[in-house]
Amino acid sequence: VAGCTLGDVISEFLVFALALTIAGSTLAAEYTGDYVLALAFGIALQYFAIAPMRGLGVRDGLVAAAKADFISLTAFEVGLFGWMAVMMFVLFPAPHQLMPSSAAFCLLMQVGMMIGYCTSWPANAWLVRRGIKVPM
Amino acid sequence: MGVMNFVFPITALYFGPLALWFYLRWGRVPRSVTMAHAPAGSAVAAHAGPGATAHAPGGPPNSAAPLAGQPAPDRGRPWRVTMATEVSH
Repeated sequence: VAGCTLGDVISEFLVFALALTIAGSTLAAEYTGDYVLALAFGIALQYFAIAPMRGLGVRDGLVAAAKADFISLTAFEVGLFGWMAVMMFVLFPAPHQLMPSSAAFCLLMQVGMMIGYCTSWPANAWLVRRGIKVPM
Repeated sequence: MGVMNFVFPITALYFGPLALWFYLRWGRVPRSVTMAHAPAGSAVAAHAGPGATAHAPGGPPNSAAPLAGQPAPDRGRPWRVTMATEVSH
């Protein structure tokens, strides 16, 4: 989840700084950027844990890391993206959207990360029980 | 695990003081593991868990001994602590 956090933070600021949209939607651009960068950073952080623990090479290590992180990350983003939708459509709708440059945005994204942490917990428990993710 | 040197600070970005408390309580390597000259079999080493005591010279064979290069998770650590660490990572 730490990798996801890094990826999401970088993506949020990139989408904001470059004013990116997908089909006219900022949220779609945020979701896409967040997911892609979170997966990249997530797999990287898993790799640096799994490869030394199991003595794997680069290719096998990356495959094992991807297996360990994909479901965990997706479950995390379900919580975070759900919260972002609540932020955008319920708490701060159209003319009052929060921008990543504001303190309120950062605070509410912290809340979103905590929600993502909770939605990722069952996925991680399953991964550990199945032996796909090996506890340190 | 070196990667946790990055994971804990990142976790603190959103979990704040809670992450700091968790790190200080559960995230740090036990002191006896970092003390190179701790006498084997001493009370200090005995508290380090199976990973540290399994290799004590002259000690009894330990059925819970981890394979070489595969540190076993500390059995004194509650499941929820293991999971909280894994989720944060």
